[in-house]
Amino acid sequence: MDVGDVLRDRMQEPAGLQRMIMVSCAVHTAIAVALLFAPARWVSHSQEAPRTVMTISLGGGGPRSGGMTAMGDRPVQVQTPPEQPKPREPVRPPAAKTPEMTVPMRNARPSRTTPAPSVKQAPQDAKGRTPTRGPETRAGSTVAETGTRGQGFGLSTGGGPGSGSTLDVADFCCPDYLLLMIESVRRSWNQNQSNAGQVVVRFTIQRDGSLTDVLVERPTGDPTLNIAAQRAVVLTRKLPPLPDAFPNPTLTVHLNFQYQR
Amino acid sequence: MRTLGSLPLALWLQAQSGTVAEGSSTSIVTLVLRSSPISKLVLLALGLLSVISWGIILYKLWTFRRSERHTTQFLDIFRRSNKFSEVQAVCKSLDDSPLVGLFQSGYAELTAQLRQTAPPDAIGSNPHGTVVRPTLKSLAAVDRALLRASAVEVNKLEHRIPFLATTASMAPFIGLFGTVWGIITAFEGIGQTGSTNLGVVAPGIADALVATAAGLFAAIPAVYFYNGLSNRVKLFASEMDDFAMEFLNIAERNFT
Repeated sequence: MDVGDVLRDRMQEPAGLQRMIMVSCAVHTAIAVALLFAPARWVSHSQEAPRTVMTISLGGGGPRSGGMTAMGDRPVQVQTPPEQPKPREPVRPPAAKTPEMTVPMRNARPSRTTPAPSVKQAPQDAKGRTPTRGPETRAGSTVAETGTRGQGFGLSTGGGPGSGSTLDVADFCCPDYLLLMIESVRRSWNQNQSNAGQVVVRFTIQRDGSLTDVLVERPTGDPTLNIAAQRAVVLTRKLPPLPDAFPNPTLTVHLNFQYQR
Repeated sequence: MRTLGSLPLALWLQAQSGTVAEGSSTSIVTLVLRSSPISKLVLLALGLLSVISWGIILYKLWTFRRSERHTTQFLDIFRRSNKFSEVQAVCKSLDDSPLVGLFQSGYAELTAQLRQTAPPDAIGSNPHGTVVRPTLKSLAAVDRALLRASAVEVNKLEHRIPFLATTASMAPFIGLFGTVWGIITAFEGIGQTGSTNLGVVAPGIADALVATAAGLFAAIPAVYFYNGLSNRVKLFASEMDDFAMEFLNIAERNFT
């Protein structure tokens, strides 16, 4: 047998290409058929009801909020009545002039007047604004609607400086429900930890009030803090059902636990 | 095999269509049915390219796996046996290994040379009674025979792989052509209705983009497997070079 004969024999390709093309054809047809019968939500986007997500901060309330008021961080005000303008006094005629020719007293002392102190700086209140009359913010005990938006619910552990939170309560229908939720979460929350830190826990409130999908979203370095925060939500277990005024089926909450030493 | 595969698939499809599929309104299928004849032609061409390239991919993967298995077996036998004739006897059963081709052509060249230099009666009629070792006339000729066989084997391994490269570079362009054509018709429709409302523009563009998606669907596996398969051909080639050296060494040691 010559080398040429060997090479000629070896040039023939092994069979099986046609069979593989048939297999490929069958698989493609199967995929096409699967696409034909697949429900539309597999290929196009699903149209679920929008899920509401909100972030609430536990711990570190705003200044002077003192904790659990629905008004949150709004400044507490009293409304002072505008001052009544003074009644005009009638213009009096000038006093009659004393006679010109008076004899001065020999022993009369000259009257002394103290000069007014020179003004170096404008008073604090008068800087750059026109003094107004009308409602004015003062510390007091009355709650008044001022239109400022609340910055979360202050649930301070130690009254320290709170960090910002992203809940816009003014847009949510039922702040009372959130208060209720926070109160029940706080009841099962062990705040007394050795370290300070911030943990964000995410969970979903179902329509019937059950808490699902509890997840530490932003952990802190200390695992005990993470676990304590997660436990607080898990132990809460069940809330009253979502209020009827709330339209969506679920409410996802990012709860921010702030531990202060 | 195909009946076993298709039966569960059919059952599964039946279950799917029975439960969920009634509500489907805008699926890929309706997009395809709605598109223009040119787009359908483009989709058909891309489907054909995909079918053929997948066929080649499966075929090559299958043959390469067989080749590798046969190669390891052949090398095992080749290194254990003392006689080339033993190895030659095994070659028929390990036909898919490229090394078999090398060995057979080398062996054919070797036997041809030995037959010329040492005719059978010369060995027997040696006056001193010692066994005269058969010698090779030219080792370079054996080397050339191995090189020829190696070229043949590489050609065989590489055969049809360039189709994958063609598919990989051509399919996106075909898809793009379909998309551009679809967008042209979509804009014509916009011109006729005289409205630039998104509701008028969007469906036409969605129809058109299906062609690009199909092009990418055909091209991506082709690119992947083209690179993988050509790499394996390279590995086979280096294996063959290695074997040729080994064969030449043995021939030189025994027949010169």
